Amino acid sequence: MTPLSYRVLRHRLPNGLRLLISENRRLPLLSLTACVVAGADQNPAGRPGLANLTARLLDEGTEAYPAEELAELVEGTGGVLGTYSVRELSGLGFNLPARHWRLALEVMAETLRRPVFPRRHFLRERERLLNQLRAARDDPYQVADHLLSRVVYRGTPLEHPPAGTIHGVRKIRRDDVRNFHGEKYAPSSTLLAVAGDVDSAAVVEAVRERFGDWDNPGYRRDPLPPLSRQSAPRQRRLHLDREQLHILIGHLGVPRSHPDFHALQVLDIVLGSGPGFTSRVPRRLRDDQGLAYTTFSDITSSSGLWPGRFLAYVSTSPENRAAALEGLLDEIELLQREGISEEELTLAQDFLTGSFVFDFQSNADLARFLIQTELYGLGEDYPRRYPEIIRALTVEDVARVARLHLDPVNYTRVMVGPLR
Amino acid sequence: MTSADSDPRSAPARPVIEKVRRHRLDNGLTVLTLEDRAVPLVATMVWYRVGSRYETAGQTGLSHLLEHMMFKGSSRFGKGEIDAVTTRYGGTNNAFTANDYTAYYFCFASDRWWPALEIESDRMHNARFDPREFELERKVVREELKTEMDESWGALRMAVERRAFARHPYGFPVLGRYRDLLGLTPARLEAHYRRFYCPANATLVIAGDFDTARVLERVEGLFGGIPAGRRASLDLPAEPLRERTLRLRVRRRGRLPRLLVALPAPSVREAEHYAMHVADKILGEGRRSRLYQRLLQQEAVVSNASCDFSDTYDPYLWSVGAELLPRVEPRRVEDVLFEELERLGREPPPDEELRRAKNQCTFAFLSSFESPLDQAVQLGLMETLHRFEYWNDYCERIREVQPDQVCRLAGRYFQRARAVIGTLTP
Repeated sequence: MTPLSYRVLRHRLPNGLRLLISENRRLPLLSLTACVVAGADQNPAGRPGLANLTARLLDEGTEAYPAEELAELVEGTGGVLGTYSVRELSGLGFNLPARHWRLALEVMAETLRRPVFPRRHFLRERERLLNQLRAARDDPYQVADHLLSRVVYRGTPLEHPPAGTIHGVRKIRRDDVRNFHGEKYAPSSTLLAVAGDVDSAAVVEAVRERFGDWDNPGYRRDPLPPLSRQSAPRQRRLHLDREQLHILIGHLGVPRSHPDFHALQVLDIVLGSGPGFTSRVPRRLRDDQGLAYTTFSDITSSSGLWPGRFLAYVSTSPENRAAALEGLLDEIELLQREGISEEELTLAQDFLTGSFVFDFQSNADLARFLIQTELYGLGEDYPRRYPEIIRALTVEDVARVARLHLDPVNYTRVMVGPLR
Repeated sequence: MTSADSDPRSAPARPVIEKVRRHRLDNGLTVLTLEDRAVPLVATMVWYRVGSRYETAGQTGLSHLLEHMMFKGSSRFGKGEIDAVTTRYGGTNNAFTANDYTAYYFCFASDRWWPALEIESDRMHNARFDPREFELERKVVREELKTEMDESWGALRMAVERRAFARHPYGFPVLGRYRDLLGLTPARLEAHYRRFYCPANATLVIAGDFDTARVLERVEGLFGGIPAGRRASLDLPAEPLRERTLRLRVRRRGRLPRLLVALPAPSVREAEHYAMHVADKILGEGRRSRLYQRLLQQEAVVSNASCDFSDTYDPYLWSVGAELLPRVEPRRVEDVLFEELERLGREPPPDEELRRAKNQCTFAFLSSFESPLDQAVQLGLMETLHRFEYWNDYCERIREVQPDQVCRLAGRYFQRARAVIGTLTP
């Protein structure tokens, strides 16, 4: 395996904020990612979309900078600042020319610590979000995905899309946003990753100056109700006037910290998310039967602090429905019944250990990787240990996790498309 | 010392681009190498000068289907073996087809990337066209086409592009028309392959951690014996500038009303295209851009407005897509949009705005050279459309763009009479 040549400086401020820096001097570029451990999982009942709307408003004006001035500062560098909010995380990403690194830290500190959520901007951003949720209803895949989550995460804030719902977002008030920010954004819940052409020591110093006095005694993190896998099969169907039928099969998956995670990564490569058409599902449904352009299965990519979802997907013409469904289910059952061959195991191990290096190609990739390492407590030596972990897995391990974590009986089947 | 002290006017990607070398094999194959030992990866790409631009009415979709068939077997690598080798060596591969080009890539760790060259050399002249595989892949492409047509933006974009070009093949969908796909045969596909997949019509790009001299020897051994063929040089008359607005409507592909306005734009071979890059940023990049300010903030008529522009061989399109807020008439959005476009055509942009747009161009350029694969994409693209040296002075040329050049360009192209305007309604 090619050695990975990046180094990380980890630093924790007394207030709990975690800072990760990796110098990369190849190009005069910089990527900054701020990550707050509060996403849709922290939405209060009846307020799906609150974490998302809060994140979207972080850069719409702060105590020191009105929105327009902030945008001018950011965009004047030529760089790009964006906010995000997903299942369990929210934050900002800022890519820019490295020489503006001080400005970038200033922007991060202001937006994370002192957003003011101006009323006019709140109202406009809520309207925009509502319209984007309307747009999402036109996308059959997203519709199917949401229907699946409603069953998998039933009774928790995760049953709604992280972006929110039209009904829920309509009810959000400006005070909800202020309260969410007040309760969930805190130094102890924040990770800052810096990758690019910078001097680590200078960055640490500048971060201390801008974040050292941040304190949030009101910080609160809400536990999620326990999640469990469904104990009976379910079905959801929605008619949409389209050419293709979108079929999703799925159920609850595992968190990133699950000891079976790596064996499940091998399972993913063998079953449905290897490169090209090497995996069983795409090889059968696309390469050998020509039923679909897009088809895959996956359980690990959605694993996080909370359990993700196992899903198998195909979009196809309605006349192929039976063959496509049979193909997906057959492959899951076959994997459970017969496991995988030594040859498949070796191939998946070769791929996972060989392609690991792609996680560090750009500054943004590197920043993302640093955050994950920290968030999931993988340890500094994870890149070095990873190949060993993968190589140690056996066909028995994969067969065991296939039986344990996949369920071809008690799953949810979602169909969206031409059903009438 | 930190880079905060460095000279903001230096052309920062220069050191990377200055390392690019062009080599030419006797059979005409262009080879671009960019040796950069900093990241332990090697990206390889092969670019062919073929895409929907080189197709004719009734036979659209040939180039794209051909791209799919390139994974279905050649003499040394049978069906599925390209992916199997890629997986075994822990790499990635894929391919894409556009109107001006078809491109293939591999990315591997630098201690194991040789299979990429062997595969590309084999499928440059030894591809097989098994009739059964052809039938299956045509079904796959049919599903791909349906996916595209089912998407609100996909359906609208296809309809607008088609009407924007009455004569030039840029109006053909890259995926092909459905009925044309039905008429294709393996023999027709193979003829297309024999004509366009040859050294004289291809560029091989290798970027990353390797030794140039050794690699060139290997390239000569693998590609040197392939018959040259000829370079595709198809001169097509430019689509005349439209003198009357064309309006169209797409129904039943979404409930949220959408608007797509397409206007003509210069090709990468025209000098004014640098001003086009700057105009694109002034109008569409970020919150300070004119369209964001006007359409989202002041008038609040749309929830999204995004501009789309790409470098092409012949003059193509600059377009704006917008999602309308409830109870807003498409015509109202159109009116506001053209007020802004026409203003840019009347008044040169102020210095501060120009400076910001130029910084955005420079940053986008630098960011597009981050990884070996990024580098291979940018080099191969420009060599195929024009010449890779384009990147050498890109930042300088952007910096030289004058306010009145932007104004002239906007005045010439961004008129309502020149537009094709599509609306999507329930």
